[in-house]
Amino acid sequence: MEGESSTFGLHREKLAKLWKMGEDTPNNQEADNAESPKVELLQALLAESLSLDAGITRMLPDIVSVVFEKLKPFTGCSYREILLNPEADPSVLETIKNLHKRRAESASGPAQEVAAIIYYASIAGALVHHDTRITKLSYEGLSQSFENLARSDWLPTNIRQLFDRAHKYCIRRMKQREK
Amino acid sequence: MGGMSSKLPETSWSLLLAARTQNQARRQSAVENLVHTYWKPVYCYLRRRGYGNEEAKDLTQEFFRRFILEDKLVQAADRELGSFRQLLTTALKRFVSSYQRDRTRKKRTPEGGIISLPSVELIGAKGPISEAAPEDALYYAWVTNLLDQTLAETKRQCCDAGMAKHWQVFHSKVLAPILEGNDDLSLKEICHRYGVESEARASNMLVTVKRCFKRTLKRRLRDLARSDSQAEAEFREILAFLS
Repeated sequence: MEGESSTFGLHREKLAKLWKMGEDTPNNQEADNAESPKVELLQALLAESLSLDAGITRMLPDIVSVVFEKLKPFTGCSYREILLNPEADPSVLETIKNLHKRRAESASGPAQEVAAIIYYASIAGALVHHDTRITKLSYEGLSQSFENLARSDWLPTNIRQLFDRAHKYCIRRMKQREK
Repeated sequence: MGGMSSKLPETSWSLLLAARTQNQARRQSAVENLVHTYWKPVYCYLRRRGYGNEEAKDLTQEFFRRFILEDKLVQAADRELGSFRQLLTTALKRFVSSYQRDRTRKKRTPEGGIISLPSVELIGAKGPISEAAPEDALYYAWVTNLLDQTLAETKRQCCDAGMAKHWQVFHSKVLAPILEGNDDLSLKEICHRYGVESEARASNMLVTVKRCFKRTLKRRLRDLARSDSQAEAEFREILAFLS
């Protein structure tokens, strides 16, 4: 092994510890994928806390003070917690959506892709938990996007489930409109 | 981390085929690659069969010359459709039997051998294979070979993907305690040492490297097997051997 100690000479129980990292267990059964930089970026972004920082305050002229007050209880919570929380107010989700739309527009590559994931997850959360559409995108377009995202193996399971529920929600709304 | 290497390593099967090509340069490269990769398990087997250090090294060279460059050993073993390890083991046993039957046979491996083997003494008096059966010694060396290669490739992938710090975190938290007997550092200490912003982040970094290790190990096992199910069986068999 280049520049590293070799495993030759270790007793079997130590080798077993290393070998077991190759095992499929519930903890590491997230889909094998060739996109780990994206996975890592998304995990990091989902773990970021909502803070009333420059990113949010720059949007202040666009939001009324009541929304600012609604954001406050969620400061310090991670985006993951907020997106999956049925109690998160639609205005909070809309703020997260707008913030990550701006992030996606100013980024490229994996960073752009993960910002877009948060953007769509915010929309999905508002639909699923509050029956509220916080975007001008059509149900047809959203349905297609959510369906694709729900199939993305590299996303965390609970985020995929959110997208799956949002996809089904959009299908229901489209059918209701046809009646 | 996918896509950072433009070319995956060749499988051992493809190297074996390449070693018999008419293309001299390709043959030489494939032979060197195979010997470099598999000499240690063969050598350990021969040592546990009772051969001294120098004789075992000579025989290792001679075995590879016959295993790779002559078809008979391979054809006989290949009919059994086993994994590459099983093929190598069967061929090696037949080689030793043949050698013992005809010890007067002139060595045809050139002086210096196919490649130069290290001169260090591999089998310590109290090492984990110092009293192992020959096949177990081969198996042990085979497994450590595979782990060393997998760890080296995982490290390369991390560095190529701009994740050298991920590797450092993994090395300190997971590898060093196993390889070097270092103290198991807490995530807090890891964060402090490497300037990682949070324990959650450090944990994520560890998961990323472990996933890379798992993918690489599974790919290497698959390279050495005839099928997915055989690769999976090999994984389980090795785990049982180590437990």
